[in-house]
Amino acid sequence: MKKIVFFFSLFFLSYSFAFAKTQPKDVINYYIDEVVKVINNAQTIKNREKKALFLKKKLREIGDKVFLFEVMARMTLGYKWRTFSKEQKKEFKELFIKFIEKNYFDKLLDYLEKKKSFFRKDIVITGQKMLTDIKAEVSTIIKYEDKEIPVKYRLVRLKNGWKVYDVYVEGVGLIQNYRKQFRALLRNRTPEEFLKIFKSKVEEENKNEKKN
Amino acid sequence: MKRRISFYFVCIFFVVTVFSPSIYGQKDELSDQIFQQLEEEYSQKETKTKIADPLEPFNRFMFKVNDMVYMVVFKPVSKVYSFVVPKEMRKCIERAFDNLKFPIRFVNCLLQGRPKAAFKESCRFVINIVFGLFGLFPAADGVKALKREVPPQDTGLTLAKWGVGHGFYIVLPIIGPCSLRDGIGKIGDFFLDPTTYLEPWEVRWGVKGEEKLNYASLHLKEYEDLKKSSVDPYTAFKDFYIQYRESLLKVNKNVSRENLN
Repeated sequence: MKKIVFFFSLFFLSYSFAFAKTQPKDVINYYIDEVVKVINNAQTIKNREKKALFLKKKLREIGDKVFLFEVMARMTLGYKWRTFSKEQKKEFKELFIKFIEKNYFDKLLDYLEKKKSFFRKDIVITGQKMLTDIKAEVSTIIKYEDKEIPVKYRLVRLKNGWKVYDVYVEGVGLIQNYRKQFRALLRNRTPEEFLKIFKSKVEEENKNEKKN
Repeated sequence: MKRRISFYFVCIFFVVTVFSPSIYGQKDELSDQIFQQLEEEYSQKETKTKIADPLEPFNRFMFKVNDMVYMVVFKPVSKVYSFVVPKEMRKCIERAFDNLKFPIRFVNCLLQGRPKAAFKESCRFVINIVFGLFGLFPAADGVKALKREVPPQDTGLTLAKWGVGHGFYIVLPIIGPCSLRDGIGKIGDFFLDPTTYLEPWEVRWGVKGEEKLNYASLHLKEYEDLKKSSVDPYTAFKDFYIQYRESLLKVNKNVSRENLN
């Protein structure tokens, strides 16, 4: 019994060390590896609908592990966050996640329609930079057709490892872009009116998806 | 017995410390400190990418007009064009036009005191003309030593280097998002563009029109995507433009600092 408990604790101890040692770029490397794997598996599915479902499910799983959607949602509202009630915050978070997933997912599907094969070597991690003691930036380059698109991930260190809170494509930050848009919409609207507009936008997109 | 108890105590301690982030973590890990740091980051960035928009009502109107022109005129015409001209050929045409814009990049590199970059641009231009069939193919991209350290320069970036601020935001007819500084820069670019000097004027505007059409056929989808993924497209494009230009300036500054001119 003694031994079992001892090994148990040893196991968990090493586990915690492993997490502590994980570098931000390892998280991105893991993320890219997994996404490429899922995409290549999805390419073997002929049926378009089944393929989309498979992709969506798998990418959501990976996304939840790597991205801090909750933080992203809150950051897009900035100081206006405080003016939202508890229920409104919850509703907003859910809508935001749906919205991001949809946008990202649509582009990926379009991309896969055009490009049949997707290679791990087309995405290269080019560097890692610590911004503060708990924030880091990992730079990657995606080769697409004859262009090189720089994509940067910003990560924050939590107790159980690094997680992504922002993505920069060609120098343009996703969160700031939405932050500005939401602020413009909230300038002369109540949170309730804002949520109504946002909801109709997310639902309009879902309708389009069904039509297609 | 005493030792045994303390041993278990140690074990429990380890298990608790390892497990606690995953058990209580969901709330605990997103501490106020993190939110505070991030909030600071974004508010700092916001002040850096702030731009006055005194013409907002006009700009919003122009944005709508442009959108209509893109969707009602450019889109159908570029669809027909895409049907006639295969994609590979359109990409070749785009590269050739891009290569011809060499004087814009060259002169602005010199005006910014970047002789090395100006030299690189000249080499790229010549190699693309000679080995890339008049610029139809990206021959210079194959030469590692000619990889650009700074993005392709334009007059707006030169004005920025000289200390000129954005001024205010303006949506130009057809061209789209711009700032006062970059708008003035575009006039400079216009006169540095060799196609401006084509004679007679019918040929000049024909060639410029073809360039725009070719560009639209390749990139209109990007415009539509960005529009689709935004809640307030006007603000989305405005911020996109400012962030993008800011990121180019940042690369320029970093290169200057490291003396890689």
